[in-house]
Amino acid sequence: MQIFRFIFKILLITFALSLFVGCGETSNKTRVTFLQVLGGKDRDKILQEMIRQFEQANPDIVVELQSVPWDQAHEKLVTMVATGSVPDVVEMADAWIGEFAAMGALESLEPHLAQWPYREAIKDVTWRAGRVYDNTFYAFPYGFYVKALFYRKDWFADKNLTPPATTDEFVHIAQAFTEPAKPRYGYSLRGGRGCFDMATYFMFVFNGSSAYFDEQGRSTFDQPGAIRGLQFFADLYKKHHVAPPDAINYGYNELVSAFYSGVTAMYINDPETIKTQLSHLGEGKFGTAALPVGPSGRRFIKLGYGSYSILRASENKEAAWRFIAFMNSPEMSTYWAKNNYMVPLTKTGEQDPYFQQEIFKPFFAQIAVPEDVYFPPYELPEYSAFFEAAHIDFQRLLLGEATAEQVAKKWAAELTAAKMRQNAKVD
Amino acid sequence: MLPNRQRSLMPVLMLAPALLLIAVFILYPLVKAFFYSFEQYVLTAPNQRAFIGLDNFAALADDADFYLSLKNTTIWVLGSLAGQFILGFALALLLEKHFRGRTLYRAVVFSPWAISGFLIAVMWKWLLNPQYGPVNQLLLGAGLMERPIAFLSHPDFALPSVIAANVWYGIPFFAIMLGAGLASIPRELYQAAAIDGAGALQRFVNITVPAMLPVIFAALLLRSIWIFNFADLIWVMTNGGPANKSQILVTYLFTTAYKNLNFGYAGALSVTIFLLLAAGIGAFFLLNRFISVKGRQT
Repeated sequence: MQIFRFIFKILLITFALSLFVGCGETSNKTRVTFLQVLGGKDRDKILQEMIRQFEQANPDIVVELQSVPWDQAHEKLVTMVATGSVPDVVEMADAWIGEFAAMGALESLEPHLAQWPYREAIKDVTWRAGRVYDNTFYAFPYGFYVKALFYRKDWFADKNLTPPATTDEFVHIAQAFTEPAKPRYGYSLRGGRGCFDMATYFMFVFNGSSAYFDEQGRSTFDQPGAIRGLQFFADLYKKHHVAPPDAINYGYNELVSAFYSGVTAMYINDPETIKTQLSHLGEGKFGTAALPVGPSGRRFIKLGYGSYSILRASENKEAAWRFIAFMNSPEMSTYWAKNNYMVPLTKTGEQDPYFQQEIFKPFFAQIAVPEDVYFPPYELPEYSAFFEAAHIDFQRLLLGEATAEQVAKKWAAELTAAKMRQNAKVD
Repeated sequence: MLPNRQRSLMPVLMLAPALLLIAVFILYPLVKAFFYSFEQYVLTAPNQRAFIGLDNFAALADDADFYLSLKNTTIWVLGSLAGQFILGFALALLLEKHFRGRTLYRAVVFSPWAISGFLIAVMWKWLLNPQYGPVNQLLLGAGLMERPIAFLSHPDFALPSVIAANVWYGIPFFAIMLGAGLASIPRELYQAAAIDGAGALQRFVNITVPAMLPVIFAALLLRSIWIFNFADLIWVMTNGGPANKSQILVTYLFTTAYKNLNFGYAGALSVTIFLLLAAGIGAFFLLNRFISVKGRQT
């Protein structure tokens, strides 16, 4: 039994040591845990730097950064909320706001914001973005995402082409670059997770409206124009073959890497992908342009954003708010937008010399037209789940197992049902 | 020596940590999922939580995606198992022979088993890539096809492709298990049979196979449960796509619980999966007994 006595001794010593170490930690600092949901080496580094500055300015608070990769973030946060072991501050994706607010997981930021000194400095749209659910400020946006067209400048110059201005030109130009033997294709089509954003883009610009619902609360997705738009999007793959054959499974990473590995000539995504393209292609080889307008002559720009939220179950809400308030102060939020390649939170952020670069122009120009900008129904608790599953229907369409009309009708039915449930709850 | 009473307590004490862990991490969630399965429980609608009896199971019985996943799971398990077993057995037999560099060779062929499923998935994803993947380049170069195939995005090739990756991954497992079994068969049996005039095939059928049966059964059973629950490759390589063509029950369950946040439905699904798996294992044991009884009679 010598061995047990030995193990016991070791345990005892470890325990004693841990008490000792524990003593050093128990200062009167408040610990704020912050979960970021787009974990990655670069992003962690930027956030660590911002946290360092925060801790310097607020010596009574320590911030612990937790980092999850995007693909696991949603389930991780769901589990945390379901089990009650939540962080204090979480980075909230736009599509999740309705969902987590409906779960009762988020704390209203209204009382804090009422006294926030920079209320006038932030973009007006921030108020709408933060209050999508129940008209209560649950998520404090830190900056905005808009999509624009990325194109291979060098390839376009070789063929003497300019970026497409309309969806018709888009097809022709994509065809001009498509040479499967090379292999080279016109367009990095997203057929996998997250394809819904692109599907709605084409549905809206063909339908001439960015309204998700009509006055009766019925989804517009099964209107004839919308169906034509969905057909157009699917035909890029099915009929014109201007997208790689494996694009049916493309998610974010695949569509971006197909571009920098020289397989595709164009893709549509957020400004943050500039960073990825710069590190692989370098400067000068790619450019950005406004999205092509549809037959309606219009383009509709979905405003996406990331935010900070405080969890209702947090025990350090005061300290958590001080952290968010610091992160979204004009100076810090512009620092974040510059390093993260997104549209800055403040009205004046875009005037920073950094954002005068040509590559950012199309993004800012597109959202400068307020009537072109819209929000998807982030307030619907089902929006996130719907968004996550939509690619399965779209893939059926690409495989010829369903028609554009069937898919559009299915989506319309699901969205209408979610809207009706929401209305019933509000009334 | 310990007094008697303490000695009888000792095994319980030694087992306690393991039992406690099993109870906390397996038994408790299992029971919880069982209760969820009779509830309407969608995480986004916490106020509408209610007992709904068998409604979740009724919905499951009408769910086309469930049947598709069930079919895919059957193909996935049987296909992977057959490939891994046959090739693994062949490999074990080959490695029985003594040749120069056998140890090194053995280390090399066993290496896939030591790699994480995630890495394997990423590697195969690259191998099968239609633009720059070597598999397509080889097939094109050999003139076997005219244009590259997007294996993982093709409705007919997606599932076979992940099965191929899984077979490659699992061969070493069978080679190790069956190799150990082979090594334990007494050499004298083969020598005696050879003296009696038995050929190689006869020796294989009459000595190797019967002696190996218990090992084969154990390996097959363990492996089939493991493959059934092994979602890494599918999750990374195809994410169940395109259009659920490579979705198996476990990935479908995961999607239902964590993407749709429908814990009630996911509970019903997991109870069903549990019963299916239990029935499969039961059938396997019955078959095992039947064969071993028959084996003893002859």
